[in-house]
Amino acid sequence: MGGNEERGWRAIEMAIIKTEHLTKRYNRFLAVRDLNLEIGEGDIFGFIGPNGAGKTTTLRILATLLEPTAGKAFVGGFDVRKDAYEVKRLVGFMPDYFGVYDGMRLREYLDFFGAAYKIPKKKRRAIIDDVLMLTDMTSKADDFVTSFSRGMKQRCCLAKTLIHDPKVLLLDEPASGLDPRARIELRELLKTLRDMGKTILISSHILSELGDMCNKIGIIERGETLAAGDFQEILDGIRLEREVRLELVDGAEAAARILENTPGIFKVSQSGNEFHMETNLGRQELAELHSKLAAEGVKVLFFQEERGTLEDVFLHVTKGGL
Amino acid sequence: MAVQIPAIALVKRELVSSLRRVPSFLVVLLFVSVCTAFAVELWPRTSNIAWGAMSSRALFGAFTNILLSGAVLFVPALAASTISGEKEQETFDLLSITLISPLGILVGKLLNTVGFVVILAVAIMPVFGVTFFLVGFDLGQVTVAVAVILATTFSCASVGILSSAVFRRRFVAIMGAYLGVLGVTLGPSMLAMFAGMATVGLSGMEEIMEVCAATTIPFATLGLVLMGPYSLRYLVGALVYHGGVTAICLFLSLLIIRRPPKPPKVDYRKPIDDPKVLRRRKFYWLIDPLKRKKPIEDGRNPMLVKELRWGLISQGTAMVRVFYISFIVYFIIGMFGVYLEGRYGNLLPWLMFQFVITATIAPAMMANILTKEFELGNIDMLRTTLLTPRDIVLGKGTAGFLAASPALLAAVASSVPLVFLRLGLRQYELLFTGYVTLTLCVLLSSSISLFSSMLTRRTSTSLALSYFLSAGVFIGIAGLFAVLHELRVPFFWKLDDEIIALLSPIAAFLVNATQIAGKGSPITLYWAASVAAYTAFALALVGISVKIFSRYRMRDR
Repeated sequence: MGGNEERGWRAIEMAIIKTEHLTKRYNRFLAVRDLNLEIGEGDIFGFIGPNGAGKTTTLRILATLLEPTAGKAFVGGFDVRKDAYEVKRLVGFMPDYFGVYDGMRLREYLDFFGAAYKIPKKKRRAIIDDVLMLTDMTSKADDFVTSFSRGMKQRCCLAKTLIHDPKVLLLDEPASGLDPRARIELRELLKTLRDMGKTILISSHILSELGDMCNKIGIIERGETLAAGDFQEILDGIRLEREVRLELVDGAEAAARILENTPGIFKVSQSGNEFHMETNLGRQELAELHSKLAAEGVKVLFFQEERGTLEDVFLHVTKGGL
Repeated sequence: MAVQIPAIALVKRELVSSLRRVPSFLVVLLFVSVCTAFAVELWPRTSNIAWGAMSSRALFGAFTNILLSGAVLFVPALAASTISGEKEQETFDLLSITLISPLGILVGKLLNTVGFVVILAVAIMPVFGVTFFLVGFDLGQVTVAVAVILATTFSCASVGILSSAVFRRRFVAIMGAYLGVLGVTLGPSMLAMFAGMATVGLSGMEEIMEVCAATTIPFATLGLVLMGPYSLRYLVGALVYHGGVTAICLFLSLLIIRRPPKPPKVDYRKPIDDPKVLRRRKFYWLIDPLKRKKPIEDGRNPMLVKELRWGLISQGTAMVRVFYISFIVYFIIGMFGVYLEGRYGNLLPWLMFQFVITATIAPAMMANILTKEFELGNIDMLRTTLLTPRDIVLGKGTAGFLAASPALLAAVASSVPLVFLRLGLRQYELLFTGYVTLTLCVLLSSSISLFSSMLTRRTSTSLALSYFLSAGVFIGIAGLFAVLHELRVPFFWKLDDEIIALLSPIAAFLVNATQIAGKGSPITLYWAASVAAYTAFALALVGISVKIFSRYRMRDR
């Protein structure tokens, strides 16, 4: 193992992507301000923020396509400025806007990128077959890439991104412009990649989809990081009260009385046998409340805390506006 | 209440967006600087009125010719990018559904393109105005010269707009525009020349050729105006001709953009693996689009292989067409000028014609090789692979150079009939030097275009820059030195013609063939030195292009 690789792998054990005070300025416009990120191996990191927040800029710096104004960025321990070649070997980048080559069939297209990533000719065919199978495009291998629909072009680009088996995937708005079916298929594909151990940094506007996949998120607005870290921790951190949904078979009157007299429950709304309450009770206290309801003869069908979503986090953290 | 004309909104939008770009400012700045430098250099150092009049005429000539050159070189590319650019960015449909009529769109685009030339003319007015103090020309000449430049600008712009309306892709539209302008300005004179050759001895043909040249070639019209008393007949003829071209092109453009657009062609055919079927299709052999292509071999530059297999070879039928058309053009001209008479004197203009055609085609083949990657959005995917800047630039550059090869091969093939004319050794040597120089012209033109494509991300700018730099290298610098030499400007008037000719590979070839070689062999040390120097220059430009791409294009700043 060469010195460079050793240096790279030592860092991978800690964080495969790391930025330190990363800043990018376009004349007067500050696209990214003092960004500090750490993404561990195998993480699915959702990078969210409004349009023009600096997501694409960050991804392009990490993909060695853009020179940062200040700060440092490392992928696999390699500096994106100094060790661009090593970074390119580790990274698969899927841009938000891309074209396809005229007159090339999908297999030829992937063969070209395979050769461009210096994959030996003997191995290339098998790798292309694997990538085509993974992206469910085997039946399209002999079609011209220019004949593909938008969704198929996204898959084609993802296949190209996977051709050199990168450890890190940088996906910039991969689901934009796709119809619902294509989005679901893409989400399933990304889950498969997650299960294969890839580290994925994905920027998207479709928050509900990121919420299902990501274990970490970063929220960026006007070039500034507003929150970054474990999704559940951020969610718990921003929530002051819980929302609990309660559905009964019988005993609505008794339940209403108990809920109104329990300290820590701010608001109760009732619709027949169904209750919604807002509370700051902890998990233990909620369990005790459940037991108390049962002891009073209330037949509880459903008692569940409503889970917060990425939309809640996003709306809470960001200020909005342009 | 002020009446709002929708097309005016278009003109305003286009002019404002084009003028606030830095390149526009730089073009105006460069133009004014060059004109000012001319004025300072040519300003008379004595109080002699005759000398002052001569200087003012020289300045007037320089300003108007620079303006006209700018119009002929830049306006076609600008105009050809207008509608095709909107089509590429998918904004043309948005424009079509506004209240602006199709005619309004065309007029708006035309005025915007011409507007930039008018701004250039206005920008040099202060410099131009001072030459009136030198009493060398009258207001009538100024008015007529401005009319000729404006009429030419309008006709070049309308040819560009027609090309833009016909083609969906900007690059093809730009190529079409330049070929169209070449046809409009030189076509009638060429036809008259052929007619003159075919009807030697027929009275009146010389006059027809003269009228054709004076009315259709703008530089010839302007030359007549500058030389002094000019014929009103030629002037009116020129204005009517360019006005007619403008009207016809706009009318045809209007017909085209009124039609509903055709959906782009999509090829759904699968490759053929059955050897029997492939054998039946052997007529296609190398260029069969349905033959399965082999994987790219290890150790080869994937960029070059991709450009050759999917760029050149997949365009095989187009390349064959280019070869045939070039061959037919060269052959017809050769038949009239050389094969029928077989004189040494006729070989030179024939070779010169081939130089001009080949040097015109090469930038069109090369100027978009990298800019199209930016425009189509493929560049990021290329830059994130392990391809080095050298792989990318040399791969694309070599393929671009080879793309010009059909025209080069056609030129050489058209000389084959000369074998039957019992040419002497000297003529064969002239042909040899001519074809080596022609290959050099393609190499030089290609490397200039490659260099231009490193400086910008827009095909139209790259193409215009390629033609501008090529014009400078092939004739501009040597021509400027020759003018300054003729005007006896200090330093320049001491230079020999042969030294000045070395500033252009074509001039060096011509001077060598006519003056230096004399009655001896045209293969001389002078010619060899010129070829070696320009080959080194072309290769240096390629090296600089790799450096520029490596430093400024592999990573955005």
